[in-house]
Amino acid sequence: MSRNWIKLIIFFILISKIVSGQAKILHSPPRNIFSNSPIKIEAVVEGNTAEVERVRTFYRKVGQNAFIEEEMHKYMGVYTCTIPAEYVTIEGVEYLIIAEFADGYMAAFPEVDPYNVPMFLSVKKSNNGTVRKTKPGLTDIQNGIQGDIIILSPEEGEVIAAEEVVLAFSIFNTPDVALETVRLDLDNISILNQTEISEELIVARPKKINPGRHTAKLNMKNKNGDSFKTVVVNFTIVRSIEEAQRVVKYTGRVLVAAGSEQIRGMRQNINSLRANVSGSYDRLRFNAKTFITSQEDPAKQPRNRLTAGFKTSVFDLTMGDVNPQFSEFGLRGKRVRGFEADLKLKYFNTHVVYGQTERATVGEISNIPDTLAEGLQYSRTGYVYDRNLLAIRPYFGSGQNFQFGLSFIKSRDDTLSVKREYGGITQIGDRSIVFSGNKPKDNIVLGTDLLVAFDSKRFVWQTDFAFSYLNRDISNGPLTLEDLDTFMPEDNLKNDTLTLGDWNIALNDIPFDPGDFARYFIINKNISPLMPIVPDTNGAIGLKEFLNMPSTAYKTSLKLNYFNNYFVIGYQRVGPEFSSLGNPYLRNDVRGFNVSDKIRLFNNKVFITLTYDQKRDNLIRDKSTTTITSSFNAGIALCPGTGLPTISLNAMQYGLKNDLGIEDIDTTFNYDPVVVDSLVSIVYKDPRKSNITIRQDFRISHNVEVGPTRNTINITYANSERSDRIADRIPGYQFNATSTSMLSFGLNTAFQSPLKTNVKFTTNTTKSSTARDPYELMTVLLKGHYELFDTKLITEMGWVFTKGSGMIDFTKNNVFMGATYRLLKMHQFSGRFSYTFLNDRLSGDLFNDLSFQFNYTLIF
Amino acid sequence: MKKLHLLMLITFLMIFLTQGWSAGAIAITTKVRGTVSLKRSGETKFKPNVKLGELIFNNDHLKTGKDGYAALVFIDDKSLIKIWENSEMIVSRSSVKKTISKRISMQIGTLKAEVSPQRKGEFVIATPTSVASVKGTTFWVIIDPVLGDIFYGISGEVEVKNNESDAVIVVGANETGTSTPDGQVNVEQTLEGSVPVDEEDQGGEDSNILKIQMRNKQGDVKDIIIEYK
Repeated sequence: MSRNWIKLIIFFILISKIVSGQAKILHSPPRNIFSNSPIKIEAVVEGNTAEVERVRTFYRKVGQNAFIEEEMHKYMGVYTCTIPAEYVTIEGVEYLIIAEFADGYMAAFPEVDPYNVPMFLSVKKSNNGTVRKTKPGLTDIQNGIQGDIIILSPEEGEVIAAEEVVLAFSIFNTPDVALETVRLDLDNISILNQTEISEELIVARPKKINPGRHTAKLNMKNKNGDSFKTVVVNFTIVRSIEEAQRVVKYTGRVLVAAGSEQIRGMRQNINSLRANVSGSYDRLRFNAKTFITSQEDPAKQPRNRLTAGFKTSVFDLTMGDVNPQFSEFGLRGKRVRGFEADLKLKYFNTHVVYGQTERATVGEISNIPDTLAEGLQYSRTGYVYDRNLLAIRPYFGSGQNFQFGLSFIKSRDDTLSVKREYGGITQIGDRSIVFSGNKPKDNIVLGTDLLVAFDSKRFVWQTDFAFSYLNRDISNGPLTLEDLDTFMPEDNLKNDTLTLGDWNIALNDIPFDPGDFARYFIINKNISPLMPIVPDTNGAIGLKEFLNMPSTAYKTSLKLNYFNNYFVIGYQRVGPEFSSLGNPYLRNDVRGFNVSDKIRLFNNKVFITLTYDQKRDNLIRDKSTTTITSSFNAGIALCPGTGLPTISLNAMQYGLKNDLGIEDIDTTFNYDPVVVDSLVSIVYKDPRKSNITIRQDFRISHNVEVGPTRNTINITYANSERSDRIADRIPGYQFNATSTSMLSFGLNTAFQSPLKTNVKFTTNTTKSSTARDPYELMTVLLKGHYELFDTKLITEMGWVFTKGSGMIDFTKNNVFMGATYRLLKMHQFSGRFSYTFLNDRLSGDLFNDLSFQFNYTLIF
Repeated sequence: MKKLHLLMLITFLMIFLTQGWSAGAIAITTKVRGTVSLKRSGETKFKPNVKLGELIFNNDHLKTGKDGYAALVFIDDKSLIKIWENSEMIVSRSSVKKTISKRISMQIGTLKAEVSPQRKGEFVIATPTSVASVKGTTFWVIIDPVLGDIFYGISGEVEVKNNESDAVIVVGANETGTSTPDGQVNVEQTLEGSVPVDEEDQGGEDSNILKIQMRNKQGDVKDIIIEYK
């Protein structure tokens, strides 16, 4: 710290003193200072209403010009810092304390001219000071008391950068340590003068340690004078963090599992191998994972998984089976066998995925040909085409505050991946084979996504938009310009004119051939939608028509996390013809909004949840009815903390309604075909829907200590009831009203011995107005878990009894036992046997099922 | 009279402080890299430049910047918490005698926990979306107040309760649990390559170091360090 800077600070102090005249540093100089021993400086700041910005101590050896600055840390209102031992010499120590306030004022100790007249501490010569450095190292105490001393840092064998060394030992669980007997050596040299000792911790931050292997030893005695066993930790110092990271590090786990499961007499044997290896070198991180199972079958989709990849700060590459995520509309978690690469340049980034989402499977061929067709026609079913996917998403921004992405997702089935001839049946003479199963598809999705977030994501606005084109059958390839006059459905007239609604376009006027685009997307009669945008009744296209395009999907949501409220409002629309083969399970033809608020109260001990959600279908009015669903949920959860029960109560109402009225009741009059005007019966069909489901559930969980046991009690009660809300149903209309109720009681107990037990009792009753009797299910579980040999061996045993009555009638007894044994940290063996006796009184069958599972795990 | 009060205050504080400078400490930082700042309980502003070996007290608020990383070890059982960049958490405890029940309230970020079996008390990680009860477990959690939480089980089990729906999942080794703000929870086998990699913890169990010093014609010295088991 320069002399001028200190003078400037003092000048401000004097000025501020004049102005305020109130702020004070209360400090009592320490006494009995010995050379080569650190000095703890403690101070209290008072008197100024403004907040204290920082408090610093400036210290120096007597005779030095410059002061060393040390920031003081506040705890329980007291500011503390330590003057290192090397500054505590026999010549004495000088120091001053300066406090700075938010309003710009300062206070100092000593109050008057602290820079020129700092506080002086006289230092006594330490008998130990020099002796410690030359004293022989600690003698290891092998026969001492085994204290519960925890080496917090470093880890045994750890490679640490010189700048990151901290030796920390916890004596939190060893309360009777005589602190004055603590000795800490580094490489047989005492570092007690660099050590901070308290009733809970012993901490040293040795500096200037040379690279190489080092040993720290801790010795101490209890208050009776008995020595604890020496605590030793070895570690290796390298010059820098980078060097520490440049050590190749790896870890892995291999699990081999063999199992045989029998259910209702049917046995299935499953063997698998799972291996994971990951590691790092410098800033490069790599991993490889594999899962091999006996369930792998070329006739089905792959069950085996193989992945290998690496990551750096700017580029990630993963090959094998990947599950990329772009956006909800385009690609979200679908497995792709290929590669995934992500270039991350902060402002401009690109995410690319290429590979196969489905692999070709052969399916079946009919044994008996269809003789009604021309010749002998065999049918192929159950096959799957190879489906290839390419997805590219350039995106801008890291996503912390802003991200804008553009996505292009292309999926296409390989029509040549399934051979027509199969099972020895060939197309010769009048024999033909037709594909009657899946049609090969082509799909393209273009999308954008935007995220804007502020304030550690307490404010987030997200919006996604996507547009899709799907070809439902590309087996006949693309249309050419010549065939474009028959493009529209039911237009088979070869008149060289393309008719789109009221528009007639001469083929000669069309400047392109659809076949030219086949590389990107195959255009033929099977594309969806045929018309990407539907004009209004006047033939005009406006914003409304744009937003209501049949194959678009968009959503927007605003999330606010303020004042202990997590508030979300969102709107979503997925057009009826939107389709992405990268996310084939997305529901389409739906739009709706949702509003929810989750309120956290009393330091996250009470949660209140309110949610409303409404959705409707039939967006382009191509269905006879529109169905609206709505749900409202209100819940409260109390989590008061240790010693008190956790309670939650939820109520949910779910409604479903369509827009049909009594005039939509379908009436069919059945007449006698022989006798004229002879009415035999009238059949009414009431398609109106308006029903409501009300559900409540109550849960309580409580930890109770009874004597030496710790117990967790869990009680759950839930019921739901579904009822019809239409009052004027015609007589005889049967609505499937259902009600369910469930009660569960569980008790988990941990005994002082390494025994843990679980007891659980559950009943479940379901009643339906269309069923004669209810479905009743009752389950009792008893389970024990016992640990042996310092948890190296863990055993478990249990019994599950299940009884079904009413519409079902059976009893099932299942007993199981298992054990896990850990050998030398690296090896783990486990086995489990299960026997089930099932008496199915409805079918009259008795089953004796035996299942078992063996695992071996290698950890390295 | 005023001076007498001041003297009494100082005396009280001195007596209190001599009981141990770390009284009430819960944990200690054993790794600090990049921007890591700390706000003590009762303070209103974060102080940057958290030191190695900094003691963490009840309700201390830790925050890492875009390049930040910190590891802290709990003093009662050596449970280890590591937080990566752009993370924010409050470390709190409720203690009865020598038992520390620990609670990590994490608003956002990436955390790895290596939690020792709790002698007594609880170890809870609370996020805006979930509450995870931990007993002798190693797992990762990526917390996003918008997207929800992703738990990657490495060993043992972690019980996760969704705040919205109260739904409870148990995430075991090699399993991935998700808990979203809309109340959804799910557990499935961990996808290949999805678990974050802890550069600090690739060493597994005991390791040995082989150091080879190399010198070129110009006299530059380089070390090749090989860690092996």
